Amino acid sequence: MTYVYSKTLTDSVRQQISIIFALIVREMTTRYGTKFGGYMWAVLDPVLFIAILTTVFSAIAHVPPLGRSFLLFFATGYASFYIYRSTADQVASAVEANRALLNYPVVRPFDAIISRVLLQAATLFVVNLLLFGTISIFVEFGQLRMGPILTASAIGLTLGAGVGISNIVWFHLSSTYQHIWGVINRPAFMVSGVFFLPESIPIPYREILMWNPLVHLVGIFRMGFYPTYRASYVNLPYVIGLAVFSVVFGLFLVWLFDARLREPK
Amino acid sequence: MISLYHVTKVFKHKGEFRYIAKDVSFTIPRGESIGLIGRNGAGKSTLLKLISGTIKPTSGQIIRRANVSFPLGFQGSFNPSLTGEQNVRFVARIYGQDTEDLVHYVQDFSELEKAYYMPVKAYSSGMKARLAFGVSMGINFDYYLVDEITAVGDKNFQKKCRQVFQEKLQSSDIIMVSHSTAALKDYCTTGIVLEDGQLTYFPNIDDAIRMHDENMARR
Repeated sequence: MTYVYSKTLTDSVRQQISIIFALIVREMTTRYGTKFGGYMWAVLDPVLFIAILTTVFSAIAHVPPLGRSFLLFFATGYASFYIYRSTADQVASAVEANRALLNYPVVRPFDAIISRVLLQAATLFVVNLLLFGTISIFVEFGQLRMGPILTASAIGLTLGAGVGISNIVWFHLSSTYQHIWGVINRPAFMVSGVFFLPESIPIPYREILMWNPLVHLVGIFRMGFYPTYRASYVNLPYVIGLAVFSVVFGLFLVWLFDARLREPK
Repeated sequence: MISLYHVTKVFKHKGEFRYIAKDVSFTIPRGESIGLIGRNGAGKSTLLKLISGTIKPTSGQIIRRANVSFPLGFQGSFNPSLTGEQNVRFVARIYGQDTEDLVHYVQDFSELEKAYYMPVKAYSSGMKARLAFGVSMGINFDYYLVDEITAVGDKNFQKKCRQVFQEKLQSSDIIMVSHSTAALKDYCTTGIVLEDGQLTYFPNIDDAIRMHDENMARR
């Protein structure tokens, strides 16, 4: 059996899709082991965390800065922050976690990245559905505005993917940087407007805070849940531009360091 | 056909450069089975990885106009927490094979019995090699890249491997790294000696082995 080696565009697209599908299936079976619940924990993890967070914080404060429900205020803040944060973390380890599979020449670092982003998007969709579905039992929502909610989610995913993709390369090149990144990012959600509204911050500090794209992200997300909330500080071109730039820059880095990424640290 | 154009691969370690290949241009024709020979650390396995495409050359280009297998070695590319069967499924998917066909083929071939449905981390290196061997034999490649794997399992299994390999050789070629002169003579017709980043091609494997022995005697 001899065959002429030629590959059409449709063939390679089909192969690409099946590679990404295979990576997603593998990831879903291994991410949380084969023990009880398995992948379900990927969904339950943030839901439980938000539940604990809300319980603790509603005990400390008296009135939420917006609306009447602590639960909704913290959930909208943390959920939107979590879209960015979890995507950035998951994508940053995409190549390292799939290193053994790079021994198959058809699997490229790029495939590992795409499959993680897709899986993360799907996971977050289920997480938020579950989270806000549960919350709607306890709290009465006004009219939801899907526009801002989806916009914020898309920006969070894109920005998270972009930051994660760049970090794949930086983490690979320097473990010192990886530690520094971890330390700097630990308090990130303290300054992202998860627990407060940026309007309540005095002027010189508020302007500094506005450089943090996550503040805008959380603001947009909340606009979808609080019909009367304007979030006039949101600079949409700034966050969208930053998110798109981060992805382009990250992919450029991966392309540039493709050879290095294929070798162990 | 696999062509190497001015391929250089260099590793930098503590300020010292180690060349695996230094400006190598070479075409591997179809219809020949090649043994790759060289001293320990000469970079035989690295060269195999370069040919397969799992790592990239420092400079130069490698063009594959053929369906080239993944490097077939002991360490394997299996995910340790997945079962043997799940790993086979994964490979079938990424190479666009019929999943059930390959799963059955490998099950028969590897003779892993119950272990086939156990996580790969519980496997011995011999079992892993059987699985790896089964997987790659279940997929039709033009080139099989083999890294020291022919001495897998017991006598019967080796016999089966040899038989399947001989069948494969009707339509496919192999590029093999081995320290075993017997294995090289068995499977390969031509040879490449790798020494100090230089490749020397010999149309006859015996000459390649002789050259390698001379190299070893010299240093």
